[in-house]
Amino acid sequence: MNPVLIVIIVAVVFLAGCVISISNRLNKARVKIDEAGSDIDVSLTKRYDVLTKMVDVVKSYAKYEKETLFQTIQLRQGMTMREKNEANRLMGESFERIHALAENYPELKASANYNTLQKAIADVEEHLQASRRLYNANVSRYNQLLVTFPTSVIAGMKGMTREEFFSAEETKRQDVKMDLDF
Amino acid sequence: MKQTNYEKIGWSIALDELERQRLSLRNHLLIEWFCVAWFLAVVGYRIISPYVLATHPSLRSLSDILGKPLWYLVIASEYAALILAIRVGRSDDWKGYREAFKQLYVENYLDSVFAELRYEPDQRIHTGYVEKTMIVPKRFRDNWRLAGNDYISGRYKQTRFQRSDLCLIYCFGKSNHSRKNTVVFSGRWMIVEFNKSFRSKVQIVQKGFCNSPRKRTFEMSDSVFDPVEMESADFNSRFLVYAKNEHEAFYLITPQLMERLQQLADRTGGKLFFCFVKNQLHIAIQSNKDSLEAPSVFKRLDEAQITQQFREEIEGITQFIDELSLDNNLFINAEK
Repeated sequence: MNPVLIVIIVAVVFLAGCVISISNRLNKARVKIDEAGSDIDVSLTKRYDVLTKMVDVVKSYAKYEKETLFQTIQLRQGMTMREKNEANRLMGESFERIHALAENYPELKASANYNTLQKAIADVEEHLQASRRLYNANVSRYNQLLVTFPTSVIAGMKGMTREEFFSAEETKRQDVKMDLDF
Repeated sequence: MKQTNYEKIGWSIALDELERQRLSLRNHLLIEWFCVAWFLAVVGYRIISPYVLATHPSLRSLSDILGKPLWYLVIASEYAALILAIRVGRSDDWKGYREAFKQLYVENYLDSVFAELRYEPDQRIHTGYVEKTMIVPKRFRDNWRLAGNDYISGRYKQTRFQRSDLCLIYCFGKSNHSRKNTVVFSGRWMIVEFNKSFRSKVQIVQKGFCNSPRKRTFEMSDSVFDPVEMESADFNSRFLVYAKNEHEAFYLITPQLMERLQQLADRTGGKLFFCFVKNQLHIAIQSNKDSLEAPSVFKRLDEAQITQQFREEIEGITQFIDELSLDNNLFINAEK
């Protein structure tokens, strides 16, 4: 057999192996993002559930319309990251409104139900933070692959594009700023 | 810090008593070593001298120089030295000194720092606890054992804990003849309880932890855990994280915790291992040192030095609880 042909065959096999390996790596990174994305969905749903329970408790103490406390937040399957960010922001605002309201109602603030829900919120928010960090870590690794040679070439061929980060709420960012000031 | 029992009865009395025991033990040791040396010297002479005298006829034997009566006395002293060395060597002085030091001083010192104290100098953390952390790779699961001492359990601030010195030993070789024991971990092991129970186990291993048989950092190749990469490159360069559930790892290992772990790794002498198991946090520090032990019998007991040594060893417990904020709401065991 012609040695040149052998070299070409070996090179082609080697290249094909590299392409498959890189492609698998990109696919795995993509799957990890999807998994972390569903983790965010779970956390957002939990947050929403606690929020609705809290609204019910607040309504029993203060005669407020549900709509004044709780803006219309729609959670559905297949939401984009931007929509999830928006839903999360709206939930954050609703929580703030409820907290502010509770300040004016000492009985509400002292009630066992309200306090249990406060603890549940803290727990849900910790889980949401973990989901956010996990998702963003995966997105960061994926986005790095998209701009690094030679993975960038394969990603371009597969039409893969950069993923959006799940951003922290404005209030959370302010909390971090305050921590740093200390 | 509350007043210890010893401070109440007078620290100097305790120190005097221990010093007296130390001197007695030191004298016994010196006598024992002298007797052994004398015995070996006479035996050695009696074995070697016939050959030397045969090859060098000009030399005179010791029995000729000393005379028969004196030479018999030397031989009698040889056997007397042997008997004395055995008698002194079998005495319980060392055990007594160690026990006195631990009970009279260590226990009282610990009692001044921790509430609900239980101190067992000859006990260690139960094997079952260590087993749960899955620190031992699958292939060694039937060939490992633990040794240890200085078991302490108690409460610091609002946090319940237990700790002991531990040695983790792997046994290599299939037959009894070729079996060889290797100490892969030697240091302090601490278990802290908290009020949350986590669904899956999470391990944090500092690179270089465990003297693994092939000098690999930490044998997890056959582990049931998956490696998890955290978002901090600095943290990833120093620690390995293993978990069954990535979310749980990110939930437990917050950016603040990562920062604190790195600071602790800088400050602590040995390599670190952490494992979250149900409602417990296991912390292992590979110091290759047996802590809370009495100083050498050939050194005078120095109150300031001993206190400083103890303070540093006790800080090994308290600094983890303080630095990792284990007494905050998440970690306090509410039932206690």
